Amino acid sequence: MQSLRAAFRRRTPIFLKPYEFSTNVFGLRCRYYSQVRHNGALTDLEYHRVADDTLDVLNDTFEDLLEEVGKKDYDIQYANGVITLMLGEKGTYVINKQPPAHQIWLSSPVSGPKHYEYSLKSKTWCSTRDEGTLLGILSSEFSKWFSRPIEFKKSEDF
Amino acid sequence: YHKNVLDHYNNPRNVGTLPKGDPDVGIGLVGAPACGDVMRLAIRVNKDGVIEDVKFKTFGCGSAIASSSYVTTMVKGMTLEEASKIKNTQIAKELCLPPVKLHCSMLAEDAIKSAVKHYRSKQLTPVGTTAGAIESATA
Repeated sequence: MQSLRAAFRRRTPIFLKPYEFSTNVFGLRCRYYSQVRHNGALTDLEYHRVADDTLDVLNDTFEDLLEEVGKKDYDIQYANGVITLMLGEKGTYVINKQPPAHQIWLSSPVSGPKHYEYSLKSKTWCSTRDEGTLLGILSSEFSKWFSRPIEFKKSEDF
Repeated sequence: YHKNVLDHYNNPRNVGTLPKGDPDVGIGLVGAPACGDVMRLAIRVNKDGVIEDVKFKTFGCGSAIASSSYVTTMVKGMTLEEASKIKNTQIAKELCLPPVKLHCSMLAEDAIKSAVKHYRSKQLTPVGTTAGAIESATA
């Protein structure tokens, strides 16, 4: 009886954060993304959807590009919300989700590190420092690499 | 990690803080606790506008600590003008940071800029109203 009560106590969450909490349903641990909107920003759920969508599109575009170029020392990895794109001696791009801040972070060998926030108004990822957008800066850098216009299109269900 | 990162991480230079109430001290507090990296950089500036003393405190990954440690060694003896021109690429280059850690050097750049900004705002406003300046510097 004692141990049962202790187990129950352990499994009962006492303090729940408003944006994220977990619960136990018949011993199964479930995690919810908050769907509560704060100050008109994205909810966690929306953020993850839009960010994953964007990374999926980027990954597809990169893979097509690499296939087309067919260089052995070029490689791409995409896992856990992180895209690592290795372009041999040109350098390495890292694009990753930053869920606590609802941002996407880009590390470019050309333009350095940048952070992007999703704007519901323009439906794009806008830089936190300048006027640039994530897709915009990638388009311009990759067009230069491959000396032809390369466009990163948004997916249909954005 | 590159040996320069390890060196600064294992023997961080200029760790500590300076009294934020002093009129010749500027403090830069950057980063987001939610992301895990917070950097606090304090500078003491002499009458000629040269950074005399600098201290840092950083919570974060090895690269963030090394970046802030390296920045403190860089800015000591610099004028405010020079210090605010420091680029994250200089830090990243010296420490040979891998691509995924470039953001740490950016944080260090932000920290020194914010410290300079705070010091300058302090020169404009009378001492005693510094709390608001710190908040605006970190916003």
